[in-house]
Amino acid sequence: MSKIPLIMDVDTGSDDAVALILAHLSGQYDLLGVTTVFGNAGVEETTRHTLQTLELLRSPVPVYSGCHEPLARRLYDEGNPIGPGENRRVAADGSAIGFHEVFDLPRPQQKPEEKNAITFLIETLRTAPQPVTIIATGALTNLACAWLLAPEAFANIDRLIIMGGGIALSNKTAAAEGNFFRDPEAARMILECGADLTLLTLDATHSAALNRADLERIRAIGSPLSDFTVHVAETRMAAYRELQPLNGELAVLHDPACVLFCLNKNLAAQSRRYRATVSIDHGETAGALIADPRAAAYDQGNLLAVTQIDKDRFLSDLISLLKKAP
Amino acid sequence: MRKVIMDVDTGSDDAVAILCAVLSGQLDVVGICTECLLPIQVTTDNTLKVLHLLGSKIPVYRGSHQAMVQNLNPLRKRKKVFNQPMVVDGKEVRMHMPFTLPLGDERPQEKDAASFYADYLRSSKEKVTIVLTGPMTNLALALLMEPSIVDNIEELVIMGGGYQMSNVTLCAESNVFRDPEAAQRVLNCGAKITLLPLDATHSASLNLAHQQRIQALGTPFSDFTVELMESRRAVYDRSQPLADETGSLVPLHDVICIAYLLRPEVLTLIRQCHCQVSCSDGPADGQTIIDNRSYTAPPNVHMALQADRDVLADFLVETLGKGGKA
Repeated sequence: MSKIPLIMDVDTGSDDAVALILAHLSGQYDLLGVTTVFGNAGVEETTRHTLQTLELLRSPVPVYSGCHEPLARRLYDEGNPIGPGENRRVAADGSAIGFHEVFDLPRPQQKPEEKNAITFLIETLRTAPQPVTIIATGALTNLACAWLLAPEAFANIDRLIIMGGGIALSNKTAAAEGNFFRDPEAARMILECGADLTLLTLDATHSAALNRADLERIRAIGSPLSDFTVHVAETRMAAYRELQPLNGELAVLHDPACVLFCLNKNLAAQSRRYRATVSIDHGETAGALIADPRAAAYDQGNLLAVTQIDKDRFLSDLISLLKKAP
Repeated sequence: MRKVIMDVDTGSDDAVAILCAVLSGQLDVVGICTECLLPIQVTTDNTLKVLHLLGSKIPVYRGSHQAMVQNLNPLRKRKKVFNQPMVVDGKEVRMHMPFTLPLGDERPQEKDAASFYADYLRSSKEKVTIVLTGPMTNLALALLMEPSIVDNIEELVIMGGGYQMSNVTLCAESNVFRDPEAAQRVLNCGAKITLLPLDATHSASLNLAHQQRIQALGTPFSDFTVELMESRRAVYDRSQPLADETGSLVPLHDVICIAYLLRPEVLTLIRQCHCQVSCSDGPADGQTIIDNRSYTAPPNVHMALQADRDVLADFLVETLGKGGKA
């Protein structure tokens, strides 16, 4: 089987790192480049984390640094807090609690490419001999810029698989998921751009939350990459406990679901097409996914939303890919 | 020679600005980026047609096909009505049209306008002056993609906005109105900015006597300029009459940016001020707001409030006369 030409657009980010690891280990992707965006941290940090993750994998894939802030949301003031402060809190004992910590990995040897992420996206889509799949697991600012500048290049996107939005769930605000909330305008633009879109929603990723027993199975693999994955999951488990309590001791790893779903659509236990957009208002619903539930909108949907994952398959795919590593 | 990038939405007065920039022989125009007014393909072709008339091979970079975010909001998009036709002697006349000039063999570069800005400014050994005479989407995207490029900008010379004047809405001037978010990003980027609002460009509107001096030159460039002035006059006389004791008047907004670079004395009143752009779905969308308070924030623009039409006319006559007889 020929490999899937792939670009990953990430804000590494704890779960982005696991997504990169799985994409690499699968051997089924031809990863053309990784583009970075602000989000889980500032873009300099997400770029550094991406380089560190690829160096952990000894992967020579080039990294292109992208946008440092959203299209429009920070034009007047600091706006919604982004960067290292977000998602982090200092516990009573002085320790930091957060979904995304600064990676405890060696300083990267490589630098990001000189060319910026948008130029790379446009050039690659224009020149790739076969259509390219894009997995986007951060704010969609880079893709939105590329679409404004070269909409015709988007015809060469095979599939665009996005971690973002929630149907019945939210995390960043009462209405919105983080990736869409950070740049609602970019999210709306990309959801309406006409590409073949799949959303891995919060509903899906939460349905595959890992518990303690799952983490022990991963830990038992005993490789540096499985250790790293367990560390990420445990950090997230602590963060969920303190910041966003779930129904039990659980850790959600959102972004890897995109990589696994792209390889096997049976990962989705439940999905349906929606006519969907993103709220660009400036009040309580900013960044919320608006998925029209009415039957009339069903057939003309602009995207496929995965709303539930086969958790057993998710875990077994995750484990079997991690076992491929030395 | 001063290195210049032009960013145009050609556009009748943009065409005259390009003619003067090239014919002056005193500016090193390293590239021309295009913006929407008419659809991007039309403004790009119009730009190529003007360069073909000049026998110039300056590279043209096609820009964004729409504003950064304004069109995402139906309330804001609906108000964008431009370039309405006027009926003159039974014939439709518009201020901006696809030019009837031949296109020639040159085509836009593969690279998009924002990537050109990023690549050129990143690697340029000397600072570059950018003349912006359309919506500022391309430069705003480049600044979002790669904010450090601002260090290589010598000066931004911008036709846009108004202090006590507006044109396309009760509050806004056309260039700023067509992408308020882009204008807001560019005006706050930290570069030295000379802003030529309607107050300056209207004060240097040309009368028939000025036009006749240009007509008398009898070059292909003066002929084309006069043709453009005539269609502008037809539209201004009917939609936004400007006349004084010398008769009907035609503003050629964009060319004053070029005149300023070569004859700075064309601007007769310049004020440093703090200027922000309104981005909203209300009536003030795209308004340039000047802070008049005594405890104002630090100035971000040198705003020209008045220009000298005789200096402008002399500049046009001298420059357009360099072309040789038709």
